[in-house]
Amino acid sequence: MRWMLHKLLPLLVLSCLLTGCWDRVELNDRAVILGWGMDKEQDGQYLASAMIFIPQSNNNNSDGDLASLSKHFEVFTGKGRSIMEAANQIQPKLSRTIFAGNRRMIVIGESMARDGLSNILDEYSRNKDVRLRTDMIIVEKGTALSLLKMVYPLEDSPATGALKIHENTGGLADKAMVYFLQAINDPGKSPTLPQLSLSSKEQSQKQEMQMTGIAVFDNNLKMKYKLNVDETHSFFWLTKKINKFSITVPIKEKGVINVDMHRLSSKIAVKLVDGKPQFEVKLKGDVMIVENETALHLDQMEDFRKVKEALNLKCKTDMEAFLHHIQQEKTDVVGFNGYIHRKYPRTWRKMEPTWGPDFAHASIKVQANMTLRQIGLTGTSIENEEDPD
Amino acid sequence: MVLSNLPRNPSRSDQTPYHEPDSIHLTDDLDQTEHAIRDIFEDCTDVIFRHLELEGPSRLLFVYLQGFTDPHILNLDIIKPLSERNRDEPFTADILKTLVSSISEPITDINLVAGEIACGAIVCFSQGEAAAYSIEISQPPKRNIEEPSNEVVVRGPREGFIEDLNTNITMLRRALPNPTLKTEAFRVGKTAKRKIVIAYLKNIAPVDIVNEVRERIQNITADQVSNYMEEFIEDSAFTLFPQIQNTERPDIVSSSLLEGKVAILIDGNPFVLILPMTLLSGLQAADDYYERFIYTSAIRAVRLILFLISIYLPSLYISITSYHPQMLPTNLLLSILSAREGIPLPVVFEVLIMEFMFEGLREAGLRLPKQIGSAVSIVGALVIGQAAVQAGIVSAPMVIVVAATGISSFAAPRYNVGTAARMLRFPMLILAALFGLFGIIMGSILLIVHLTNLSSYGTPYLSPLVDREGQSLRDTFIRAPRWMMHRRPRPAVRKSPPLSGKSRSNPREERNS
Amino acid sequence: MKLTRTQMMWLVFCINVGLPIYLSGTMNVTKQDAWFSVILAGAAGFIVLALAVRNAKYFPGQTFIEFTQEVLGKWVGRFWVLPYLAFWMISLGNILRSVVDFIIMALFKETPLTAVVIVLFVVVAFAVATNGINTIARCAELMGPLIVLMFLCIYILNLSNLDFTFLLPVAADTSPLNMARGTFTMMEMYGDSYLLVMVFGFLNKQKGVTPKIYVGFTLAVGLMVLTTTFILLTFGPGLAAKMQYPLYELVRYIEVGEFLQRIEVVMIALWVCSAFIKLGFYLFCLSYGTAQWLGIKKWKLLIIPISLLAIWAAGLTTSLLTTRALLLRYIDPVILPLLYFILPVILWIMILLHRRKNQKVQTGVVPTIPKASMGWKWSGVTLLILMLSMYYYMYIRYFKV
Repeated sequence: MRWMLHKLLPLLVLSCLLTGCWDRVELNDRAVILGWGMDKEQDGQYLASAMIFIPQSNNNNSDGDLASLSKHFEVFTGKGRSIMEAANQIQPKLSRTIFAGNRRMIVIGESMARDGLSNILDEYSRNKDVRLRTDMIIVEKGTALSLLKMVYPLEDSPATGALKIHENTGGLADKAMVYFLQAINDPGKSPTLPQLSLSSKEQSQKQEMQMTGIAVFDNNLKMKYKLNVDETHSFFWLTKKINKFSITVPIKEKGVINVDMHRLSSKIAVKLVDGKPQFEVKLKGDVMIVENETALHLDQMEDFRKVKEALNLKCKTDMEAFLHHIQQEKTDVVGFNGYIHRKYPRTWRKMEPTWGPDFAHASIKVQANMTLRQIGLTGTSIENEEDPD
Repeated sequence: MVLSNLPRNPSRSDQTPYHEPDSIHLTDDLDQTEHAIRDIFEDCTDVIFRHLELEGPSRLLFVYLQGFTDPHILNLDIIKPLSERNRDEPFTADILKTLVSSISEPITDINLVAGEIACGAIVCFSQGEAAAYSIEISQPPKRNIEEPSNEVVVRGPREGFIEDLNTNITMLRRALPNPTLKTEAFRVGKTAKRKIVIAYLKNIAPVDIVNEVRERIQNITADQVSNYMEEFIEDSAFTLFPQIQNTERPDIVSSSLLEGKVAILIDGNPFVLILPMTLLSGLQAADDYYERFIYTSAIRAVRLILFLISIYLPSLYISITSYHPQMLPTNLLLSILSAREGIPLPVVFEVLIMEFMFEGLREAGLRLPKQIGSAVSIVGALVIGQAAVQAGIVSAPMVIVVAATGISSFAAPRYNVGTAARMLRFPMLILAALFGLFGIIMGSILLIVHLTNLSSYGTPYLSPLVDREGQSLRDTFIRAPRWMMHRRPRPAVRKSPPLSGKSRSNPREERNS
Repeated sequence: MKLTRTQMMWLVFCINVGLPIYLSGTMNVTKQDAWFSVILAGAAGFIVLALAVRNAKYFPGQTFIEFTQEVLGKWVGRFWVLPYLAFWMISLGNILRSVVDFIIMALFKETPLTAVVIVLFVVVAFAVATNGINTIARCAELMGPLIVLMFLCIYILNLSNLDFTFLLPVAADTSPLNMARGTFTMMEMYGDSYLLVMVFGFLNKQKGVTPKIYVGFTLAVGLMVLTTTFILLTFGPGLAAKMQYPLYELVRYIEVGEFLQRIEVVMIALWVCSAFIKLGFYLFCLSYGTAQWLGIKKWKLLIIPISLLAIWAAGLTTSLLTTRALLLRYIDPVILPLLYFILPVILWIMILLHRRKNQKVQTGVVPTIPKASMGWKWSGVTLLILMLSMYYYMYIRYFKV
């Protein structure tokens, strides 16, 4: 009998805990949040909105076909003086327990972003349900609520839509939060977040959303200004987050050429001259011409060279414009500080406290060296061929 | 032993105890002997007494069972040459020995004689001699050698053991033609003395194990034995895992013997027991050694994964859906969420009901005649599969989980290992319902602890994964090509623990005595 | 109970791999050079391990409790062992608490700590009670390779997330003092190696076991170094230092395509398994050691009071982080070097002197529990309780928040 006891003891103890199940929540008792929005109202109150999945039973559907489910979402909001208060207002409105483990999109209204994100981030990085792979997006001149409430026809929810738009325009969508946190933890580097804008579709009530650039934050996590789409491309190029995009290259007195650029790479070198950092940016990439609106004969060396020069110039000026902009704003979004840090760790320690203003005066030289790989199937533009230029 | 602590109450027993009769010596008077034998075999219509009067003083009596011995063979091989021999010579046992080879030493105890007759031998008495000779030329009815339906191979020999022991030994000999293949015979069983043969390779099988097997077999005190004698000679009773392997295939037996294992052949039973058994040998099929090794290694991985699925899938489903939905990819979560909407039962009960019904289906399908079998599967598939989902009683993902689990549990090549997995899934289910993933992890640790403590005849059950000291892992999760497996696995690295007296006696028997 | 050499290797591996839970403290101090302080801590741990081997290898078939008494004499030996037993008891509570903290963080929200502690420890105690160190070692032999495999998978799946600039500049930002501090934070984990003196005597063959032990240890440290590097390369030193469980975050961060994601289940499972082995190992050493020390023949009986004590101690501290702070200030700089370095060195010297006098070497003996008088049993228990309450007093006095 002792032998039996010996084996049964653990089972007995375990069954004493049968009364447990503290954490068991049936799936049907969870309100799955897929997108989260934070806004600051004009009266100074915070507005939290949660986009919650409304499961629709498919039992009436005779096929029992899971794929044909219509997905349905509803936005619930909460208002409060502080962010937590606003967030806590949501649960009382729900018959099910909030579950944020699958929240992959955090939308922030511009007013909120300008007010500062430091309060939000703490919760987002402390909550153990939430993953680091989360996308964060700023709604330009709009509210997070309006984005979450819109109907996006391509995807099942606007949150997914925004995520995929972000993904498609070159950013690594679900790494947005990690990049943001990394920049925060890197003194000297300014954090950035992608920006979307909402616009009304013509002749209809429906809204559209569009990627419009990057919002730049200062070290207090307050949004300072935005970079437009071209600047964003340059930014991504420099930080190696994108490896292809298309631009239109104007050619002196001849018109424009549209090109696809891919296999983009960039190199930043730094040296100290009289204790001041000097950066040299080298841009490289392969170019494919997709449209030639000029009369240039691309199969001829001379014209070819002209195009290439114009192309290099365009890349260089775009990049310089971007760098000029961020230097003016004294925000080092690219992480030039890291290059000094890695190469001159000792000097960097002295430079670190004043890096913001120092960055504004640092000299940055840009060199572009693009390679024209393909000119398409025709050498010259068909319509301009007979043009006696 | 727990079983021996059961109350012994003879009055409750519904069986009259069997008493071993006292030994009585034969006399040299043939008539008296015949009378005694007839007494023993009273009311046995199938016992034949055949007298043979030889010239001279010799008089012989052959006693045998009707169905066991072919009268033609008896006539041709024994009676005819006996009657035609030189008449002057008196009859001696040596003459019989020249006629048939399978003749025993003289037996003097009448009960032993009766036992021989009951086992199907021809017993020869002669006037003036107080001993009898048993001749084994019996050919009881037996079925043809067929391919075993439980262990079908794509490639490889298509013969399986049958109920006849001698045929089985012959098949084994043919598969393993070596003089070191020893076949020791035992008669086991108190009431029905059945012949049991243990086979092993003398210079390969560890002596410890062979001795242990002998000892445990001799300790069996059951009324009769059959394939279930496994329960009398295994190490631990309170476990779901079989510690003795059984097979119907001579090729498996021969390769196991070459690995140093011991086989037990039981008369009247086509299943041969092989021991010691390890868990991994329970997950290996005969096909593994006939197919190409790369394919085999891949298939073994599939099998292992399916084995794990058959234990864990339902409990993982419970714990992830009701405890940790953050571990599901978003789209999957939404699909399950929609499918579960409106289902009245908590996931745990959903799983339990479906698993229960599945086991029921399996059990019902097993016993039914083939003609009705298809009806069960149709009703099962329709009722459990579709109607339940459409009626909103169970969710579709649940059906998928249960079906996948069911299929996986049949992927184990040895049916009784699959059974263990099927049983284990229920404690895991309960643990998952209580603690989610933590419960499953704790359950798995308990399972591993249990498995590491199991052993079969001194060989750790998880061997060669545990206690491997220079043991090769080339025939475990993968199968290395044959020419790489040059080291013989060692079934028992250490001396077996003192296992004597561990063989379980029949509880019924003990109560009776 | 007998151990094979391979089991010894995996046992050493499993108790040292610890799945980097203390990394964040190190990263806070040493930033991108954290991997180097892990190597340094590993080297320090190696010394402890080597001392353990040096101490125990001359006494096959004897545990720490027995051979100290043989070398130092009965009474000195008894007192020599006392602080170890008491300190291991404290460590057991600490390890249990940190394991449960992780489990609760990863899997639970409202489940009370006590429930998790009890369930976990019942399983551990059951395992130790079945077959002692044999069960634990066999489990280690089974799970060790799986843990290695898991680490390899984490590395491979994370390759696409790496940014090598995070590791630069090497050794520029960290002063030697900081490096030493970072190293110290890690060292506590590797002090556990000294417990090997308790099980060395169970080996079935001694020949060739030392290299295997070192291989197991090096494998554990190597994985730890690689993991630290991968965490740094994925998150950057700044973000990684703020994470409480950086490895867990690393695994959660893995996403290959849309399908291979959220695989932290596997990591949690194996982490709990390695914790189980470590706890079981501690529990065995403690209960068998205490039984030998007090002369109690049925050592399995001691599992129950020791388990209860560990469960109580696990609930004592408010949280892992505060405990860590306490450990760092008092326990690590004083007690660890004393118990795991200074005393073992002295013991080693004594052993060498002792061996010159006394050259007999027994082989093929299993450690047994010696007889002891009733008087010693009671005074031994009293001593142990006194020592323990001294430790606990320190805890409660300085650490209870």
